[in-house]
Amino acid sequence: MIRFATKRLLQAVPVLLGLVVLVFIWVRLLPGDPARALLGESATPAQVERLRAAYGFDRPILEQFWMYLQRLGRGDFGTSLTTGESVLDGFLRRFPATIELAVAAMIFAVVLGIPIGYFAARHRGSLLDGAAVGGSLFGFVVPVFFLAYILKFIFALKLGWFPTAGRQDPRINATHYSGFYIVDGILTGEWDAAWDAVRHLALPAVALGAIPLAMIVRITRASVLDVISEDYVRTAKAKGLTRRIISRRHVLRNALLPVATIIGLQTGALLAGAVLTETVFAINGVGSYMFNAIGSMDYPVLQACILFVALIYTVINLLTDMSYGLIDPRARLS
Amino acid sequence: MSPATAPVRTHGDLLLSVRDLHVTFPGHTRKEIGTRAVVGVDFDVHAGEILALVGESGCGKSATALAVMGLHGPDVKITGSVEFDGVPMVGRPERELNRLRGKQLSMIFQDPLTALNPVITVEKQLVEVLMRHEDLGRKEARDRSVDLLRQVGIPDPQKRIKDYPHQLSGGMRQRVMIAIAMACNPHLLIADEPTTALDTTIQAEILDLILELATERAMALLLITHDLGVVAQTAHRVAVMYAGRIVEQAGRYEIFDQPRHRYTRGLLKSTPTLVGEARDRLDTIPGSAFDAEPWDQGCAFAPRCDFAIPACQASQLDLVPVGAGGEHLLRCANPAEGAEQ
Repeated sequence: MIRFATKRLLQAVPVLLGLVVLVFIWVRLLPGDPARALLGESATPAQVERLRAAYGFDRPILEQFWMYLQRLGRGDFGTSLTTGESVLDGFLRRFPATIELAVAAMIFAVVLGIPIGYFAARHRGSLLDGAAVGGSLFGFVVPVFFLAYILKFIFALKLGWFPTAGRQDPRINATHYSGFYIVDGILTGEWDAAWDAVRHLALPAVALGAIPLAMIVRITRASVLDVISEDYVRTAKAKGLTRRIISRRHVLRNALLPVATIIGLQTGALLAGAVLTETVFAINGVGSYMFNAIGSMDYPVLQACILFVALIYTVINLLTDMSYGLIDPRARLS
Repeated sequence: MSPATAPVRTHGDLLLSVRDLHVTFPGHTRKEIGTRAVVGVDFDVHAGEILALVGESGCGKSATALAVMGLHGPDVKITGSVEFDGVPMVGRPERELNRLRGKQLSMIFQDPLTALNPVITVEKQLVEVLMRHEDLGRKEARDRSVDLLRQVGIPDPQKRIKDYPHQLSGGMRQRVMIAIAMACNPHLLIADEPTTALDTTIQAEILDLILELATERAMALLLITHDLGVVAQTAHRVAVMYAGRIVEQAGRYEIFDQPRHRYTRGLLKSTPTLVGEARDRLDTIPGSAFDAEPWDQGCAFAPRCDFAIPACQASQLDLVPVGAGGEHLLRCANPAEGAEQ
């Protein structure tokens, strides 16, 4: 297992290097001049020139790239063109919010999706099955930002069950160590702070988790339907095993393989969805950082964010591959 | 049950009694009638007896076996009666069937690769059946499992028990299946084409193993096969099925030496032998079993039969005893006489 993981990690290195190159090129291919964007419409050409020189935009592209690589090597992602703050600092400050949101969304999707998909398959053709299939269609077709607004409107504004925005009520004055508010609250024993963070997270997590939930329901259902007609399930019945044991040991475990793939892919996709969700719920995470960077042509921030997303994708792919090994011994040995 | 169809007792007590069994698979649409796989099958298996159910693909052998085990899906319609040890099986709740299955009657399937769960170890698959039916702790169940693997001829069972099915050869997998089926010493073992998916070289080994274990434990065996060579070696009695019905049933020697049904003769003629004169070609039965219509009237084999007479199509044909002893049952309007040519 460790050898397998190491091998996969090494394979990820050239992928990431290639990405560094691509991201650098893409960002510079984007239309618009960052110096002009920074200074606004009324800036004089001389002012623009000065700013371009200050940030190195006037150098040959290869030189810019070389400087960029050297800085990356030192862990220096540059400074934001809009705030002047170190990109790394800005990023690290926002990163826990996004991870917390993505994890919560995925937990929501997995914890609901697998049982719903399972029961839909086991009671195929029933009302529950119809509701699961129809409901998952709804999850697919409703855009994330729209769902986010609807949820916010109904449950936060109209019913007042949840807070409308942010990550935590500032009046709580919670202690923060890691930036993961729920974890911080639990670690410090500030239960009210943790609970408040959970309440803030609920609606964004549901909005962001809707698509993965729909996918997981569909895939689990299809996969369980496949597996229950397998010969080994018939063998399990011929052994006189109870329905519970058959379900857990023989059906579910085999059915989870394709589900693991979907969970992996969807977790990566969550980061893209996080951009919209964070914007709607005013969560200061990587998503909104990226969103603002696009608007202001903030190259260093964009580059760092894209690299981060790519890195997350790579890590999740690695974890997904390793989960195959856990579920299916055949994947372990080959 | 008419007295005519009452089989003669050849072994111990009556263990399995199947009467007028019908198995119908659902059609694609609600209006469609569906496929009648088994159309009124009667047979008995006594304790310690080996009954071979023979016929070509699609004749309803496996559908019969699955009906006995209660393993058909809920959309498959089953009527008639299956009594195991005096207990009716058809329509019995799953929970009660589960107490019998794996313990008193168990089953070996054709393809051991797909019949074993690929993601759990041999140990778990053996231990789970022991822990379900026997009052054993995990450790005792594990020790028993190692013993069982040794009994089915798996070398180094302590080590192999940790393997996953894909790490074993086809023959070894089927040995594991046999160990699972035998784990709780069932009274009846149903073996559905147990050697068909295996290499020719190990087919005989596996068959011998099943026979040896069945004899040793005085277990009755319902052996389902299309391979008459297998039947010749093993069965006490043979029932030949065609298009969902038993057409002839007799002792092993009777069937091979004095087959009366034209279909049985055709089957025997189309089987290669190593004794006697070499033939250039094997005989074949003209036509295909897939053309056979259900037996509402007359004989389903008649359209393929060289000896068909008007009576074959006209009347309701029953499985009736022929000859002395009443042990040879036949469903034919124009049976063959005497020994096989």
